[in-house]
Amino acid sequence: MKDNTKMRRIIWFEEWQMEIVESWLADWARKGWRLEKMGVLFAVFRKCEPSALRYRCDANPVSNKLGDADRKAIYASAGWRYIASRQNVMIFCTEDPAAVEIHTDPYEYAGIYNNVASNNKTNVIVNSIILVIWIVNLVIQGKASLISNCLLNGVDFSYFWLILLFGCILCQNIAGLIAVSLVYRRLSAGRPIMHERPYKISHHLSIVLKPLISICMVVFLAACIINLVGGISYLLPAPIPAGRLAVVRATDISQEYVKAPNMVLGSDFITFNADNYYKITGSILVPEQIYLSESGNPAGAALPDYGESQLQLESEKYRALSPWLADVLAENLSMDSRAIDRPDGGWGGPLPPSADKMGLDNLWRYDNPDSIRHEIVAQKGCMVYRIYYHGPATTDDLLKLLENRIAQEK
Amino acid sequence: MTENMYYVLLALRSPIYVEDILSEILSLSHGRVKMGPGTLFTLLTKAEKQKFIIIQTGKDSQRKAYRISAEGLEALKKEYALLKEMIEDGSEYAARWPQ
Repeated sequence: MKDNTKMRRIIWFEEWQMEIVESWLADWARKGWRLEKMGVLFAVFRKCEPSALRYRCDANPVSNKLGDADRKAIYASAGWRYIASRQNVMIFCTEDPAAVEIHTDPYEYAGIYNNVASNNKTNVIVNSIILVIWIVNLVIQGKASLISNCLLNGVDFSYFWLILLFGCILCQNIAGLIAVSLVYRRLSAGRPIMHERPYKISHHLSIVLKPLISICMVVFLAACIINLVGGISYLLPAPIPAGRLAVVRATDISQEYVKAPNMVLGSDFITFNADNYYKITGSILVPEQIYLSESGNPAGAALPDYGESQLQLESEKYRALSPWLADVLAENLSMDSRAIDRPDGGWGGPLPPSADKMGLDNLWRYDNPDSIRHEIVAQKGCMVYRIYYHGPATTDDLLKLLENRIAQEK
Repeated sequence: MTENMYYVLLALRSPIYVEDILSEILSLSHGRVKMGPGTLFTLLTKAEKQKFIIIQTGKDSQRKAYRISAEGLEALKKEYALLKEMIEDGSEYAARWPQ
């Protein structure tokens, strides 16, 4: 059964907003709700007769060797009853309008406020360091090019949410530091503190900021879970979409190509092959991708250096939203390939006549006869093609196959 | 030493329970010094740190009694001497203060 004499409210105030909390609690008392308990997130009120109660939030000193019991006893002797504690603050209340204020010496009180300011300073420094680390990490991970990173690896939203989250927390900390510093300055000048300050504007600001931070936190957690699930789906990719073909199939290169057992399109082996990972849906920064990795044995073809090595083929096609994005993607794909296992050379150079014939805007090609690795990355308008081949054919052969495929697409 | 600390140490000249200190200060100052409990607690913390006070716990009771230490008494005597000196310095001129 619901207890109508009890009410729970979220506390949207920070630790340093002590005078505002006093005002908030006094307002509830005037409405007939007396504070009973207070946690980090919630305040519990008990129904009572509307009364003009005075609440005071009192920050704890840095060292308290005297103990809380003695502190409460001293306050009680002046008519102030202990109600609850929240973080580093104790809340006291009195019904006696003549009760002397808790702090009558602004200079002594300034010392306590200095401790509150120190805590805020620490929070600001820690959060700033975390924020800078995240941003630097993002830049380094993105190889100084956020767009390139997004094009190749997709958008990792967790970074953005974390930066937004810590940015919001940092803003709150800085706001707290400014507010506390102002109060400290006032007390140091010997002027008493203004208790029960009107809280309307700050309250509304908190009501906007705090839920925003909470939502960021929830979304961040959701993004982490999605990333986790995404990681699993990378290991167990979706089946190859019907009707979508690779730019080049292994059988296009060698008629004698024999697929390894069970390596049939749509079979379990292919379906659960981590190399065949598709970004089926595109977005502003993530191009639609068609990718296929195949391997098998070309009958009778002995590959130098590796003996009867397997023929390997990776064939990708991307559709970006604009030629500019396609250009950036193609360049980064070539850089990415070179960074992985292409030391130097073989890339770039003038476009061959066949590339002109195909109407390619850009072409990167690499031939390594020693290791029989060949690769091309080509861009035409919004389309980007990448073919990596491990076998006896050369990039000229790959270009011919690409030319045929582009002609078929037309 | 501040005025408030002076009265706190004066109130602790003999063992006293914490809940009685505020009324003792009020009585000592003839109702002039109305110290807040937060201020008293801050001063007691500070005095404890400076070893000006001794906290005594009774064997049969959880209540703690506070009293001034030798260092605290020394500081109080110095402050008293200083205040007395200040009064004497002023008294020469006070007699001739214009009406």
